[in-house]
Amino acid sequence: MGLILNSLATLIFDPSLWLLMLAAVAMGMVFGAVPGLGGKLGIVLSIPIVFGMETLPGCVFLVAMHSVVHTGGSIPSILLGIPGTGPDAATVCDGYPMTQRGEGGRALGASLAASAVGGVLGAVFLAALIPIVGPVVLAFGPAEYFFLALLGLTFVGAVSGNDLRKGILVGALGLMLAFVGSEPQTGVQRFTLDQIFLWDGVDVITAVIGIFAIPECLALVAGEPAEARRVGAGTRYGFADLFEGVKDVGRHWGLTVRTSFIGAVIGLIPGLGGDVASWMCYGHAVQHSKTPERFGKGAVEGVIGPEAANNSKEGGALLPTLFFGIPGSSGMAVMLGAFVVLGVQPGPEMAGERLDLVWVLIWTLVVANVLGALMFLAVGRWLALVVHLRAGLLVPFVLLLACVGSFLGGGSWENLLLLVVLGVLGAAMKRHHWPRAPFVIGLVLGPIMELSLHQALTIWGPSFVLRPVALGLAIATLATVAVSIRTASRRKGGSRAAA
Amino acid sequence: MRILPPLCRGFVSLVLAAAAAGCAGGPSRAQSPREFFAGKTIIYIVATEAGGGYDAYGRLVSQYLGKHLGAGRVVVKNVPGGGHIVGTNELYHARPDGLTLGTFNSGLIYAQLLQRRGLQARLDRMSWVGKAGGEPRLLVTSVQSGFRTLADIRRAGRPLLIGAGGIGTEGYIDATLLAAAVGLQTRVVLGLATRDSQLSMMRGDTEAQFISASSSRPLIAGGFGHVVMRVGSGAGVDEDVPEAGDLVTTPNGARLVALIRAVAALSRWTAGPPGVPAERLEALRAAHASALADPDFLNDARRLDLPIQEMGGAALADAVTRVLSQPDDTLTMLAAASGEPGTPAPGAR
Amino acid sequence: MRRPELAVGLALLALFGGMVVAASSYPAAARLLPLIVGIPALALTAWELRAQWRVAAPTEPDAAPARLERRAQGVAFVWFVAFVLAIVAGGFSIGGVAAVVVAQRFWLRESWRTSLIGGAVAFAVLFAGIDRGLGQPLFEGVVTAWVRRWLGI
Repeated sequence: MGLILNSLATLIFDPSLWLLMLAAVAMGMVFGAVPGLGGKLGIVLSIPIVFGMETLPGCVFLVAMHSVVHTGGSIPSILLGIPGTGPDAATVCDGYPMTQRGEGGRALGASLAASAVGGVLGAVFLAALIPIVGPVVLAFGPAEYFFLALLGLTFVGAVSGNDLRKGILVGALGLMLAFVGSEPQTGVQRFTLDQIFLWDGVDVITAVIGIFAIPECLALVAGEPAEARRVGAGTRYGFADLFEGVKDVGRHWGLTVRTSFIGAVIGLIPGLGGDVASWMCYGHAVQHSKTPERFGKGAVEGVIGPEAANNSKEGGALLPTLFFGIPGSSGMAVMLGAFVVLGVQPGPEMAGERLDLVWVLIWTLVVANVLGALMFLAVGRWLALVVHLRAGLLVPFVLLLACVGSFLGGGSWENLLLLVVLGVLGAAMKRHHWPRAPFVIGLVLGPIMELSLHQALTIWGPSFVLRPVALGLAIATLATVAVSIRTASRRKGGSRAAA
Repeated sequence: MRILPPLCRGFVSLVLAAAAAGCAGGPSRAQSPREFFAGKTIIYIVATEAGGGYDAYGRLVSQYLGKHLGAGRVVVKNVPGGGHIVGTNELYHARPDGLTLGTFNSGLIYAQLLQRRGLQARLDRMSWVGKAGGEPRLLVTSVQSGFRTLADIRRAGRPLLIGAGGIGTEGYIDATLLAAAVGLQTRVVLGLATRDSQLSMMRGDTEAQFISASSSRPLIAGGFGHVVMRVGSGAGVDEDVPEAGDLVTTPNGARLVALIRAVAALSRWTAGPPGVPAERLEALRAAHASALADPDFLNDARRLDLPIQEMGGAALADAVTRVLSQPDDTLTMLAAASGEPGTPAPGAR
Repeated sequence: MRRPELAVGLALLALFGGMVVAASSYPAAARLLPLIVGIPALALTAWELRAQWRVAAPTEPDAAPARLERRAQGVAFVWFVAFVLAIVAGGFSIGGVAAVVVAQRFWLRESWRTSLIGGAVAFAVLFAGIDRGLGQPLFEGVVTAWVRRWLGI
């Protein structure tokens, strides 16, 4: 207990650390908010900054910066329909429709509060698991990953709205596009049309911008009458509206806590990544709602779920990074390198000799997330003014930002052509009322599902399904499918009765 | 009568002037390399995305290279994709004026030997500036597996479960070449990057991996892994650990180990496109050598935990040419080990 | 197209069909999941198309505004493609900025003043902010690169 309180005191009674955290939080939010940049690049560019620092301030700076990237990333997702980072894509599904409906302030408020709560709970999760980090991280292998991915895919049903068949087809499309690229088992370049830029697969950020953001942007211009061509016509962005969103998090505290926990667990499992956490929590939010038909049209739970998970996963991801030297994500891999620069040797001894540093980092997660929320609260009103601009001023910049995001995220200019193709597809889906969220779920989970299946078969053969944790996840998957089918048939029966 | 409006005339004049300047080509008088580089911007291409080993080495080396060259600015440009192929191709096709340099995976030596599709660069034609890395490869087994020596593995009477990246990656090729060289039966679990493979070993799912010495440190230091065999020597590696070259019993095996050793040694290199003028290349090589001898550079490298093993550009060019001149039967064995489509499955020879 | 609501279904049919055919030629491990997903998806798409075909074509409540909206969407889409192609050709700092100016002036009917200010802001953000400020070189454009090489600069 003394160690825990001492660590907090070390952090909050040092003015230089406060200044560092403020700078780090501001930097993290900016890197999250500009599409395509992301936390990983933020750490890379921070390395020269922290190079000359002492261990403690340097680590505090890095963790503070990285922990609020997705808080910033939700801003363009909600206001413009362009995800700031991959994991913020799930927020677009309901955050942007809320802005279009005039509730952008409320969406921003819900996002910042969910992010803060998620980040704090992620830190609590990290603290609680320190004694048992080994067995927990090592419990998940290829067999478990496969069923986890399969479980995630079942959420396609939940996010398909009223048309399960269309949702499944769009999910299948996402899966098929996930198979594009270099296949590890055989070295074959699948579906790449001889284009090297596709060897590494379809870029998720390009796909999300094309399928979600481009159609919304074009619809903004094509809509009539001209005076209504503003994203958030009539939207209110006063503090009262932001606080309404904050209160929403309180109203849905169960969902907030559950998705924070799920996000932290997924962050803990190396290799799954932030996209999986946010989409699984979005699917969870839909599935556990009594009125799932509201999702995709501006349900605040559709913002709370992914945003809480985005931030809580940071706490989870620090566990294998600090205690095993195994990064929980590609961002953590760079963070690991930065820790080494600062003289920290991640590994089992962190639980022994360097527990004091670990606790300071846990408190940093807490304080940085709160600071991020406050900063967001302060500037959110002004940022939100952007959506009051008329389409003529806004749309070209939105398109430009979309192209920048696609280029930086995908790493090659050919992604811009892919953006056009997916933009066409997204526009057609929107026009003819096909659900679009299942596409990203398929795209994100496909690679994990396939790779882990082949690895599990190589190691154990078909008997991998009998491994205890895997079996548990398999049963959960079947149960989720059964619930989805029952809900879908109930909905169809209800709409037939109403007709 | 005006033929062109004034604005258009102005525009055309501008274009013609620019073209004339361009056609003037190089400097109007002989310029020393030092004068040429002074104040200029160097573009340093790193063939991976930001973060990771190549990026870390690339940023550090390019920063000091620029400083010792007297360049105005160094811009690191990440060009990821296709397993380093996209960035390497871009470097290969860049203007050979000495202002575009880059770094990429030395595993592309295998790609060129295998004539992999998509690789346009010919490594033997590049303008080699120098290298900064190069360390031994280690065969590490998990403590859980109980294997402490090669004899232990052979006594088990079943294939060793080894984790590696996908087919065609340097890690996979190294592992299968080694297995073929020392006559080891292996079953490779594919798609496991270095860290994922280590987690897999800790869980007991896989039993071994063949990786660079610095990457193995967390596993060894944490008490999860044991070094069974090495290829090459270097700082921080126990010389008592058997070297693969001493364990092979056939000339073919010796050639395969030599190939692995050569590729492993030629790491974290810096190159320019083919045709960089000789004087400027000399200046780049001299600046690279002095940068890597700079005490500040060595301090920074130590802090970043980047082992440095320097080699000058001329020696590097020779080494690359030599390693790319492999006899036909080595190429056949390499093709078999690569496991790429159309090649026979790897096996011990 | 007389039944535009079938567009997505037909596109999916073509995509799934093409990918299943391509996957059939891959080695076993590479074709396993694409076929497991692709073949049922193909069948499901055919079922969906059949169901859509049997439903009467949705009647437009008021033909003229719907046609105008479709035309506006078509125009918006053409401008979007041109915007992206401008960036592909001229890069972000030249093509992107020009695209912003031209789109604001000729598509969205803003004044020259507004359009040029928009272009200046775009340039500041792209060049000063991202390219130089964050040290992230942006794409210079296929045509721009060729012209620069030809001019020897």
